[in-house]
Amino acid sequence: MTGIDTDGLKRNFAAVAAHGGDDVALFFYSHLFLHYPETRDMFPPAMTRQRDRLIGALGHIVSQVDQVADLVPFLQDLGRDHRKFGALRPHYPAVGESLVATLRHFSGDTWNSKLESDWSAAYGIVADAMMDAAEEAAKTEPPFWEAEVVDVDRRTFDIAVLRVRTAEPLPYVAGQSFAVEATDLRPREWRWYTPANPPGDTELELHARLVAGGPVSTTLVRSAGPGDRLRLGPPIGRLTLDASSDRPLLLVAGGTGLAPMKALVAQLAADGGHRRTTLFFGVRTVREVYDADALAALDTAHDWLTVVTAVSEDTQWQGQRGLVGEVAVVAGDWSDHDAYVCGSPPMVEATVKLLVDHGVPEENIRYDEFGES
Amino acid sequence: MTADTDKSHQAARLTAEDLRRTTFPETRGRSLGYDEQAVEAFVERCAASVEQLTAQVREREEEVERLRRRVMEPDNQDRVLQALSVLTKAQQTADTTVANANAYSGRVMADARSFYDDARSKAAEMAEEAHRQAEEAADAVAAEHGEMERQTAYLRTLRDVTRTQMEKFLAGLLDHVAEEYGRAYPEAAEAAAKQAAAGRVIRSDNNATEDAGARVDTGSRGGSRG
Repeated sequence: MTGIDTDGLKRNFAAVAAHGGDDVALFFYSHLFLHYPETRDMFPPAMTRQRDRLIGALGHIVSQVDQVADLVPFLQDLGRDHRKFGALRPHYPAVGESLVATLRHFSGDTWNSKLESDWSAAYGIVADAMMDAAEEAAKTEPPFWEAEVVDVDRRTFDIAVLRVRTAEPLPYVAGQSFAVEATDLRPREWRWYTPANPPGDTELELHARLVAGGPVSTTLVRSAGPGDRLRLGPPIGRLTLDASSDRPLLLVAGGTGLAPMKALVAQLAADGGHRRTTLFFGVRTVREVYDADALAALDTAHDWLTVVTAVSEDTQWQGQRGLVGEVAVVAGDWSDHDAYVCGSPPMVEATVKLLVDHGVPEENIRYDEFGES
Repeated sequence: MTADTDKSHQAARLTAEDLRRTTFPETRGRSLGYDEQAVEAFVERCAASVEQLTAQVREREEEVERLRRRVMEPDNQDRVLQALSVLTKAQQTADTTVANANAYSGRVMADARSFYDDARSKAAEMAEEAHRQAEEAADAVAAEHGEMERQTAYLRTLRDVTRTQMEKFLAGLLDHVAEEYGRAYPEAAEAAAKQAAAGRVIRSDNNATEDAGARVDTGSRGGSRG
């Protein structure tokens, strides 16, 4: 960023953020909606989560503003992803105006024309990267994919396996995720889900776990039914198979983190089943073993696959007991394996640490955290 | 004004009048100077340009001053801040309302989940208890009465204990539902409770008939063995 005083920007942002990230974001969105009321419709009624995301993204961008090259992939993903909200080129200058006005408002006397021009220039670079990525993506893919719920199979009262059919095939790789909007039932709220089957068909299998108070998961598990429309965003994620590797695989899944693992297993089978694979699936109580039949069928069907289910808090379980990460590390030597971990943030953190402590090289571990939904 | 005196005014902006009043010293002797008329015509053109540009600059300066005054107007800034404040408050109200709704939904699900988990562990306990009582009953039957009698005693006790447990459990569930329903719809709950009470009287009469039937069955089974 030539000519821009990046240290000045960082200092200014820190001073502004000290007023409270939420208040700053509140002012920003109020300013944007006051000057461009038509943008209000792009957001859901409650903006708490959106404000957190905005401050998080801004903080990340500002902290990296000296290493723009590192930022570019992040901005490209962001720009491509924003297409699903209906973001268009003309929106970007409006956002820039409100951003500068917000910074000016909270800077008080410390604001000067150098800050104003530096912020405008920095924003311009960010916006250009995002818009260019969006335009590039527009050449080959739609902003979102229309889909319809085919079936909701409530395995327990809070875990459902949904079958969803897309109008056009969604170009993802087994293990990748995409954002889902329940367009009819809960518009403008997007949450990430991972299909449990590899690409090939227009039908997708989604595993949804009801998160208390979560608008999208509650809708998908309790309210959704056949015919309800969904929208799916562009696929992202690094929980994918490494085509250049022929190492055996260790898959560790907690709860609905099972979904990407099922997709990986199906992909491995489609590729010929040449890699020895061990899948550890862990839950707290027996009732949460929501896909036992499918797992048993996979274990039986493939001699290169072993499936172990571990339950951590239920005395009724006759099989492996304990936290799935702990069960996995004592079950064998995985130091020469490619490891994949998916589940709740605490589960992933604990499991990855255990794997590293037990000799699995960090570069061979891929993980994805399933957060709030 | 001569071109010489002009130098002392160089710092000040040149006006059209300055240009028109400027005279140039005549060339001495040989006529190596410029054509007087051409120079005058040129100077006139410059003067006209300067006049025009000066007028434009003045217009722009006035406009900037007007705009600056409007932007800096205290009640315009205030109005914008007021509008922002209203929008912010509205957003905060919306956020709180949705957060409350989500929290309520979360509590309902958490209650359901712990209720379900409690019910499952209770059911596990009850099943164990039923089996224990049935074992006791089977053991109580003296050895010489034979395997069939022992098994019958076991099964009958198991059935009785399980049925009692199920009835108590279901009654508990119904009471729980009635309580929740009653909180929401008091009159309807009262009417339902009256109906349920009447229903229970009939059921307890049926139980007596059922047990009699069962005893008859046992007797006939025992009879056919012989």
